[in-house]
Formats: sequence, C-alpha cells, structure tokens
Amino acid sequence: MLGKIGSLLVFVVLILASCQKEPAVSTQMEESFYIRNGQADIPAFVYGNGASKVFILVVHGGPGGNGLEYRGGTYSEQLEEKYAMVYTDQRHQGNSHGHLSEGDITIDAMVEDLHLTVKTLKARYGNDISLFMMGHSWGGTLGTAYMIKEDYQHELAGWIEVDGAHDIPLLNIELIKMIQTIGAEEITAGNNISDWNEMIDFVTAIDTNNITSDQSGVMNAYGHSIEDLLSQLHHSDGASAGILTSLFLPPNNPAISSLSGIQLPQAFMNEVEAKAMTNDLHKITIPTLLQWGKYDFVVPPALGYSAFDNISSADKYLKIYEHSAHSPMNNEPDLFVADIVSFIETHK
Amino acid sequence: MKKISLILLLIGINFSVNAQSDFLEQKPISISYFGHYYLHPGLKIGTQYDWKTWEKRKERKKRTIVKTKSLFISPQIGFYVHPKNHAGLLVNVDFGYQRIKDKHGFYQAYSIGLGYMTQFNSGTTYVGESDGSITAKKWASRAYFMPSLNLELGQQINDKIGWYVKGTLASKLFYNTGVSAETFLELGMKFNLGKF
Repeated sequence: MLGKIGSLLVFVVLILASCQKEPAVSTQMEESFYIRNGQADIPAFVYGNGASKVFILVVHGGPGGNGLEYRGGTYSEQLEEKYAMVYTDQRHQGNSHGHLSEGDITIDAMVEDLHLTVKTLKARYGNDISLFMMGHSWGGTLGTAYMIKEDYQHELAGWIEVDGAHDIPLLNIELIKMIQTIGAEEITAGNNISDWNEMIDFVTAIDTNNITSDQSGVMNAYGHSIEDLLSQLHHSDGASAGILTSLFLPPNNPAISSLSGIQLPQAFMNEVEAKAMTNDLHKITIPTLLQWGKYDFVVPPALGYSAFDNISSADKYLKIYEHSAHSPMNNEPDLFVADIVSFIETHK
Repeated sequence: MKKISLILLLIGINFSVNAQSDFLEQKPISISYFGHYYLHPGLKIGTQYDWKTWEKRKERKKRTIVKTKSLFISPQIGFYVHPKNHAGLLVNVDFGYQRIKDKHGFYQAYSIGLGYMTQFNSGTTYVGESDGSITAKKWASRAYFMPSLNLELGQQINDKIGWYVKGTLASKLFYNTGVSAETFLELGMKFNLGKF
C-alpha cells in the first residue's frame, strides 16, 4: 500500500515539475538547472535580463562560499536589470552535491567544472550569447586558473577579476607590507592603536620565506577585521539577504552550504595555499577588467597591479576604488557597476 | 549503498504487508506535513507497528496513573520540494520507544531512523559526457543513506484519531566527501482506520 501511494506521490511531483518550460529567457529571468561533471552535481541559478543576451558567470569566493551569496544589494540589482547573472556553486561547496573522494577536489577539477558550465550556458541559451566571467577573491584564483588553461578563455567575451588572488604566496608577502605601512599611518593618526600594534607585531615576526598556513589564516582574519577599523570605507547595503531569507527561503540553503565548505579536504586547502600563477598571467589575452578596493587587506591591491602588468590582453583595465576594501561591490556599488557596464558594452 | 536501500525498502514493505491483516484494526496510518528545514514543503505517510507493549501503573492517593509503553517500528515514505534547488524522496524506517499516558492520551516517542534519500535535481541536469558532448537529463538524481534522530510529541484524542509533532535531525552520508546536516518538521494526524 505504501509503495503504491509513494509511486503516486512521485508521479504527481514529476508531472508538476515537468510543466516548467525551460529555458525561459526573458528580461526577468529566474531559473535554475544543474551541471553534472563526473560525481559532482553543480547548481546554476540564473537571474536577470537574459533578453540582453549578455550573461555574467559569477565565480564565488571562499573556498567554501556559494554563488547566491553574491545575489543581494544594490550592485546585483543593477547588474540583473541589464544582464543575466549566473550564480553557480563550486564542487563540494554551496548547494553542490555528489559522491566525491578527496582526490576529486582539486583546482583543476573545478576549472573543468567551469569549462563545462560555460559550454552548458552556450548549449542552453545559444552560441550567440556574450558570456563574461566574474571571479571574486578565491573566485579570482579559480577564474585565473581557467583563463590560463588551454584555450578555454576564448569561450568568453571578457574576464572580470574582483580582488582576486592569483598568487597566494605573493598575497601573503604583500599583506604583511600593507599591514605594516597602513598600520603605521593609522597609529600616527591615533586610530585603533592597540589593534594595529598587535597586528604589526604579529606580521613583523613572520619569516616571509616560510609563511605557514596558520600564519596565513591569522592574516586573513586580520584582513577581514580591519574593515571595521577603517573610516575611509564607504558602506552600502551589501549582499545580505536577511536572516530569514538566508536561513529558510529558496533556493539557497546556507546551513548545508556552510557545512560542505567546512569539510573541504585539507589537501585541497594546501593546494590553494601554494597556488602561484603570476608567471602564467601572460597567457591571458581576452579583454580583462580588474577591480580592486584600495583598502583590501584580504587580497591587497598589489595583486591587481601584478595582474595588470602581466596579462597580455590588449584591452585591460585596472580600477582601484578609493573607499573600498575586499568587496567594492558593497562599498561603492554604483562605481563598481558603472565600470562593469562600460567594460561589457565595449566588449560584448 | 543500493543494497542498503533495498534492505530498508524490504523492511518497510515487509512490515506493511505482514501488518496488512490486522492493520485496519490496530495500526495507525499517519499523514503529515513534511517540512525540510521547516519551510521546504512536503508530505509524509507512514504506519506504526508495536513490537512490544507493556503497562506501568503508579498508585497515587486519589488515582492510579497508567502509562503504556512500547517499542515500535515505523516505516514511512515522504517527499518534499526545495524550490529551484531539489526535491527529496525519502524511504525510512524508525525504531523507537513510546510512552503514552492513558488518561489524556498524550505521548512522547524517541526514535532513530534509517533512511534512504533520493535527491532529484531541480530543472534540467546537463551531463558532461566523456566524449566532450553534453546530454540534457530531466530529474537526474543521486541517493544518500540518511540516519536520523527523532523526537515526537502527540496525543491520541480517541481510539480513532490523534495528532503529533515530530522533529528530526538527520544527515546524508557520503555527501560530497562527508556529511550534510538536515532537519525536518512533521505536523500530522494519525488515523486508526479500523475504528471508523
């Protein structure tokens, strides 16, 4: 009896679900689908103006974040009004799921996921769409790894790197310098003296030829907390959707997302910690927009300058936001969006 | 994994079939709202087989308190939809202990569940094939073994009908490389069909 009722329930659900028409391209798209690469099922959530034929594939930060964290606040509203935004989760993060072994969690596997995602977007929405990739923070690391692999970048109309970390060892060294120099300025100005002294003492004691992952972790935490100490930063409504929406309402599930992120294998985190791609940046030839907060203590602007100097693209732009830290999309959303729109309209 | 699910299914079917003869007389059928993370809506049905039942009496000055205790097995099937994310189909068997006060029929039950959850991806799943092509697949799914801990509170209003609230903490195993955290809320009714 239970079996029969169960079969009936499944049948009803499948019938209801099959009534959805896909893809539903419009000026106000709101749809989701999955990409399956081996043992990983990766969700993609598409919102915004698909009729523009311009799609921005968001590569989230972390590792351990999720794509829908980037949907919220002024900047995403503005971008969705003009273009379609594709928020995906990386394998073993966000709402991705599957039966994975630790060996399946590598940067290269995630690059292949991105490659399949790009191909899927073209298969679903047509080869005539103009596709841009936007990577923030760790998403900048992963996006850069995608750009320098084979000829993958030529599937895209452009690359937007936002406070991205293409070279973690370089990041650590530049972060030490930044804490020392700006910290000294803040102490001279009489701002948060004990906090800055503590951080300066910590980074000054580090052997820059042998920075451990623990030390890197502490500096990363400093980088985030410094944002509360700086009066130079502007604050707008960020990407926070509110506690109820975050916890319960569709389509995200932050609880499951957080737990997946926490369980990322240590071997993968070690791989990330050692990732340095500065010497490969010359392989990037497509139009590139680099966007950085001047007071980014998580991924210092020095990495933006490094990317700008080494990328071979004829069309490359570096925008430094004077009142922003690690997330200029939240600190100065109007300027941030204006620069993206200008870049896309030029290169779509 | 598939063997485990088959065993669970067989346990469930076995109890429902063995209980068929006296089900309409004794075994309640439960129907409930089945909320994944409380708000992802679904429906669950089940039944309960009391494996062992005993009574405990406490004599007080003015009255005698009678509590009926039992060990039970409860096969269930349920589904829910997390919009734009996934749908879940659960086949589950709870093994538990129940204590009911005879006077007002209030009861509480503690149980552990062994379940098998099939997670259907929302929308189309685009599968990357080994030759580089992409195949579109509707309702692609993956299945996970899902043990659970349950606390149920309810009341047997009369010999025909009762209500209950049940909270569940569960975890999909071998989810990515580890586990997931799931929580469910059930708000339901139990019917003793044989008494109608």
